[in-house]
Amino acid sequence: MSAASRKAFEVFVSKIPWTVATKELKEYFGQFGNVRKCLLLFDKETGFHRGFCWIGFSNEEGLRNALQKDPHVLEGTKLLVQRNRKVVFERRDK
Amino acid sequence: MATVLLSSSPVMAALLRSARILLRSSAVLLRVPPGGARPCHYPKVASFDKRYLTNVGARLFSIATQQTGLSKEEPSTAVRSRQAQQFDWALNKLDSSVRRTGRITKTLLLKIFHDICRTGYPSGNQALLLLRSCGSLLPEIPPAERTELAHRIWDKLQSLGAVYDVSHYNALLKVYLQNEHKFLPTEFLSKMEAASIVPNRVTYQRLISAYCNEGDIEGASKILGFMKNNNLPITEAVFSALVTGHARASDMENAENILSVMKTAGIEPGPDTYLALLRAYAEKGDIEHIKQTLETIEKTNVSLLDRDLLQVIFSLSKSGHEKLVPDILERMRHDRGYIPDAMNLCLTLVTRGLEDTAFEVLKTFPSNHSEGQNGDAMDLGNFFLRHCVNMDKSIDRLKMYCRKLQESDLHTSALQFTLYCALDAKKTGMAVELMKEMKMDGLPVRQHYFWPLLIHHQKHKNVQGTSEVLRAMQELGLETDVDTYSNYILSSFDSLDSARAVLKEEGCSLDSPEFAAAELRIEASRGRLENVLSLLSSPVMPAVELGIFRGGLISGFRRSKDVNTMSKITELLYRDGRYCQTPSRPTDLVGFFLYNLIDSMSDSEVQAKEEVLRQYFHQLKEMDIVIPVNTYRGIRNLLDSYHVPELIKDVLILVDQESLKSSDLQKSPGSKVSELESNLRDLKAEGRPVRDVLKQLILALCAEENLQKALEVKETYEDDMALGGYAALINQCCRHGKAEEAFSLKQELNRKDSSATLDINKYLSLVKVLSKDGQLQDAVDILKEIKEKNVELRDSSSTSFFHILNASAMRGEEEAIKRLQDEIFTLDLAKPSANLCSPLVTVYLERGDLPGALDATMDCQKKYSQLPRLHDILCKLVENGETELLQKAMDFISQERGEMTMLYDIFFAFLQTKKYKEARRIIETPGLRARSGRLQWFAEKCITTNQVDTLEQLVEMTQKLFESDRDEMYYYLLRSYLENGDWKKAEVAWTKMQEENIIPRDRTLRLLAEILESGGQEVPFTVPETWYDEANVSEDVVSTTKEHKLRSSHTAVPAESHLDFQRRVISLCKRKKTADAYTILLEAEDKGITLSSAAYNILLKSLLAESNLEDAMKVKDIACTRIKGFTLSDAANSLLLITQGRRGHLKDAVNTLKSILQAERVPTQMAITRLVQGLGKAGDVEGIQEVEGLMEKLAQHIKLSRMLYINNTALAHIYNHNTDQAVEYLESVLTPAGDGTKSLLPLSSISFVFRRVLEEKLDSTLDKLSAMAERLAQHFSFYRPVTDLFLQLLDVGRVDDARLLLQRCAGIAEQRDILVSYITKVARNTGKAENITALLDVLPDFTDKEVAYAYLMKCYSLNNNCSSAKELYEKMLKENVKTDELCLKRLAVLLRNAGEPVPFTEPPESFKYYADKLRQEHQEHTSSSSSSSEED
Repeated sequence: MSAASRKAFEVFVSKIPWTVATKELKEYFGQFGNVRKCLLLFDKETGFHRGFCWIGFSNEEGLRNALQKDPHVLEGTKLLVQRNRKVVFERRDK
Repeated sequence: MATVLLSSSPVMAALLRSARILLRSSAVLLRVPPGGARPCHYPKVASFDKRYLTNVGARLFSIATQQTGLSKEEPSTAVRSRQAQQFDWALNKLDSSVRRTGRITKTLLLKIFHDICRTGYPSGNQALLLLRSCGSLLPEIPPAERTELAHRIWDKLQSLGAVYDVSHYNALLKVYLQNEHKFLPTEFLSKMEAASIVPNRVTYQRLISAYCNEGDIEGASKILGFMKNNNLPITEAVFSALVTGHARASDMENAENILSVMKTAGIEPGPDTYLALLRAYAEKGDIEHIKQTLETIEKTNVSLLDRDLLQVIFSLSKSGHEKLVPDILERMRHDRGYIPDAMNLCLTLVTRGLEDTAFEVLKTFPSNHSEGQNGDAMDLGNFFLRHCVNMDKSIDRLKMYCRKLQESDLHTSALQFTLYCALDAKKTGMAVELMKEMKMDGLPVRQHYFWPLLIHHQKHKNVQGTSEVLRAMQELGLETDVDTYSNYILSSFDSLDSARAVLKEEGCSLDSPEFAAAELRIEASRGRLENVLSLLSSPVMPAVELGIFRGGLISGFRRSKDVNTMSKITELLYRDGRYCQTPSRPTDLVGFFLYNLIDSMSDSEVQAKEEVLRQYFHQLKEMDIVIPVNTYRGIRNLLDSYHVPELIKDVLILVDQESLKSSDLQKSPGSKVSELESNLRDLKAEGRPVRDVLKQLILALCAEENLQKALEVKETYEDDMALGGYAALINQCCRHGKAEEAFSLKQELNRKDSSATLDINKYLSLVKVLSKDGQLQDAVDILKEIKEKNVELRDSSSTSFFHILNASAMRGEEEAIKRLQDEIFTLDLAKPSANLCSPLVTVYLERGDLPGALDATMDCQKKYSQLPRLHDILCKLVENGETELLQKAMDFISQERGEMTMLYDIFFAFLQTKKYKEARRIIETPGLRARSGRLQWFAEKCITTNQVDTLEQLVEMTQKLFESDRDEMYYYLLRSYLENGDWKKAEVAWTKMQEENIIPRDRTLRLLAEILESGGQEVPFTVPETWYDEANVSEDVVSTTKEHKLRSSHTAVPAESHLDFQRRVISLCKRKKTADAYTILLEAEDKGITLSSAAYNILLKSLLAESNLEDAMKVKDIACTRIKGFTLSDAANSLLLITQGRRGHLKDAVNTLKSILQAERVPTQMAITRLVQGLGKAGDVEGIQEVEGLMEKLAQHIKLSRMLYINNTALAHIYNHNTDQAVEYLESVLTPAGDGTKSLLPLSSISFVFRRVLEEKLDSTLDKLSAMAERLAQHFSFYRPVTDLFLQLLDVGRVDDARLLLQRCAGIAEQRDILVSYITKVARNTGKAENITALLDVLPDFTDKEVAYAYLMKCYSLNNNCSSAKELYEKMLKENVKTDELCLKRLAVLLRNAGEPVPFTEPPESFKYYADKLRQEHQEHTSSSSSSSEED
């Protein structure tokens, strides 16, 4: 449950078409394993999402399955799926 | 023009040689792609590659952070360079926009325009560029509007002091022509005359065109007369204009005749003339003559480009002959640059309402363009669809275009894209229609499609608009979901009640779980917990999962102190099945909630809320709420890291006591060796488990580098040894190069626990030390183990692999390299890269075996697609004249990487070995185009190795290279001249740039000026910079001004008009001849002449920049009497403030500030900073308060840290000898508030105060401040002040004091962020390596060695300190600290400059490249780590 393990099974997804949102992404990545988290940020100014998200799997298997698949195509668009970078332990009080 | 160029430049002559000699041996390979050899007249200022842009962006970033560290000496330079870079950035953006898309958008142009206005003092170049952009480069804007914009820019920049010359007038004329703007040429000429600008050949040519466009031959003849009188040559451009003129006067016969007239005059009709003729036929719809003419052209030497034919299409469509367009379209050759040109035409046509024709053109776009970089389909026509949406084309048209694009497979999702544009433009009606169409096509229509529309209404609290969108959603059959409700709808209403009323009217179902959850979210995040409680406990509440409103609830809890309500809500979550639905268990749900709650709070927040949380936990306990032990552990770790360990026991009570282990109770703090030893002995004696203590002891001994002792301890307690202890020991052995011991420890560990895993760095240390010791098989076994045990690799691992391999290369062990490399790649421990493959080549190069080296690199290409050290090999081959091997290499490269790559490789090799004749032959190969990345690589290489001659050759040879960014190339050259202080060569470069007709970027001009100035030369142009900020180098300025004064006194010309005076004042100011400018002003004053307020302002600023307050005030008085209501510009005001402050006229300064604010103007941040600092120094506490009060209203416009006032107030007390008051004041500000409100704490730095006190050597004050800082650290765990003090002590060299302070407050060592930021600041600002080494000296256990060493290397590199850098590198290797590429690059350059061998492969790219890479990596890290876990 520490900060480190929380990020451990995450992939970073970019080039997401504007037409899909959290639900579609969860569904799509659900085929690789249980999706525990799907963080897709929407722009407060435009109302569109920013084209990238983080998908967190509950276990390593999901992560591995997702990374092994290539290409990832969702609704005709190729997604870019990368292992999430390791987390630098930053102090929280910003 | 051309002839002049030809005779004066042998280069040009050489370039114009028609016969090209291809490279002797590889002629077969040089297949020229069709169209490649044709010259390209693409309209661009220069071209840029993507990397250039990212660089600029990144630089911006670093400067922004620099600025926040306020109150050091020089914020002004930061502000100034930010302005300049902002402009550069915009300029590049504009330019790349034209290059890629054939146009500039209005938004972009306006943004740049406003930037320039804000910065002030537009240069001539800036003005020229803006004006040039107002013509056909804005195809999306109607021509009349474009001209209007040009005029606006013209007037505005002039009022800001831009000085126009003939080039500006010519640019304006071009804009008129492109916009078909009707104007009177004679009037234009008189305007020029009034401004004392002499028209030149270009001016007349354009005026003739203007007459001819109207069919006014008579007018044209008049201008022609002027030209003849002035003995100006009549060029092809004039004849072309006359063709148009006759044709527009409906006299085709004479139009055609012009061609023979030309021939008689000895001028061959060129493309321009034929184009004019073609357009004339096109306007008449005479396709027969067009075809005939095209055939005629084919028989001549003239060749028309696609862009010419596009013009013909434009003429056809404009005159209503769009039916003929396909005839021309089929003749397109799709040259390079066709796409942007055709895009420009399409947009122009759409703007003019000819979208159907535009669509015809669009359909002919070559299809290879529609493939993206990675092979996936890229969609064609986005730009077209977007413009149609913006121009409000009818919905039926839009639908038709989409359908046709999709049917012909040109676009995969045209409808979706069009919808995107409509949403982006907030066109609700259009968007809804498009969505209906999509729905009919069976495409999904989703909630979030409506968010862009809703967010727009939300911002304006537009209830009606919101309802409209809701209706549309219902019409499309969508049930509003919780996200839509809570994020986009409910907040548009003032209250939930009014929202309910409206929504009910719209027919929304208010008892849906979605709506209920949205209500919960809104209420919770607004902090209304009572409402949340009553909603949750209401019997009509539907079932809602906690996950849906957890985020809101947490933010509500964080703001609340109402323990009662919080507990009751938690109890409901725990007990009410509506919120905790199976299969989740209440205990997990609430546990996870608590964890998230604590996790979302910062440490200071938790500290402040400690008591509230404690009561909350106890109430939960009373409610019999239990959380899982795992969750407890997570929370415990959080609290531990927040330094609130007291709270842990209050969480502990929530756990089922039986599931706890002894280790759960508290984490044991690290203890000292001796304590551990005795502890260990005691435990052993009592027969109790010793594993933990043993491990700690080993770790402690290793940390002390006491390997011997650690090994002894291991021997004694071997049976109790655990993984951690072994890991530390192994690492320690590796560091001391004891391969055997390390390996036997590893085996011992394996015997004990074959599944035990070390971390990757330790494994790699083992591999390194083993391979060095020749135990190759063991090393390979370790690699295999890494794979088998799936040890997680780090970014640094590949660098470590490189060092392992390169070390073998240096020892000449190619078998070892091959073996290890093979294993590394086959096991997939690292991806093959040029760097990783290079040692294998190095080993051959080192012993001079060229065939071996070549084979090795070719082998790498076959196996791993890498060509390591190719450049080095090729150079050696060329040098040794190994033709056969060279041929072999070239064949191979072009087969593997393509001809273009091969040509560049061989080109650089020839250049490098100074075989310039051969190099030139290569680069002149038809079809070759500029690859800016490669050119940059080589240019940077030349600069760092100071190969001026080679660089000059590179720049000269690439002159005609397609898409060569000339400004960039000259910039490299100038950088090299700067290094060598060669102003003479710089001057020659400047002339050549004019010959090549390049618009230099500002940075180029600045660099040029810098070189000339440092050579004591006068700068022959206006230097584009915010020169008025030079206040701090006033001494230099004054001395040169005196010189100039002597020189210019006899060159002064009598001035006549006020315009003349004005121009002279402004231009003298810009050339920093302020005294002269002042004299001119007095002269004007004598004659009773009034100047513009811009001129007065500019002079004022120049005087102020030289601290000449007296004369400045005189100028102000003069201006006020001459111009009614004269006000100082923002920049002048701020300078006045600064100068008054600096000269100690503080009361005046405060009054100036008041008048500035009264006039509703905004002073700069720096001005206020300086003023407050001045007041502080004068001990004027009230003054500071007054300024703070005055500035409050402007707080939104200029960002001033509160610390500015706080620090200077404290200093004011100190200067008034009231140290106690200062301490009391600071302490009250810095002490964390008890009420949970966020204090200033985390951001506040009082370094400035420490610094001043240290500088003034006020030791008794320092003692008191130190005591205060220590109190804050000890009582509140607030370490910032004491850490700042610590660093300031180091900074001024009081190392012993720093050491003592550290002993008293050991927590300083853990303030990683502050320490790291200090190190980076040192490296960036002063480059004083001793500051960093002192820090490391005092803090030997500093954890971020990698960062510290990297910056230390930077300092050495800045100071050219090769020997220290070498020592550092050895130290890094010894301590096994990762060396990043930037660091290696720095070291390599140092070594090379010192003529020493580089013991590793120098990273091939530029510094910038690696710096950006690192920065990007860092950003990725932080962006992913700072993302909260807010879920939907």
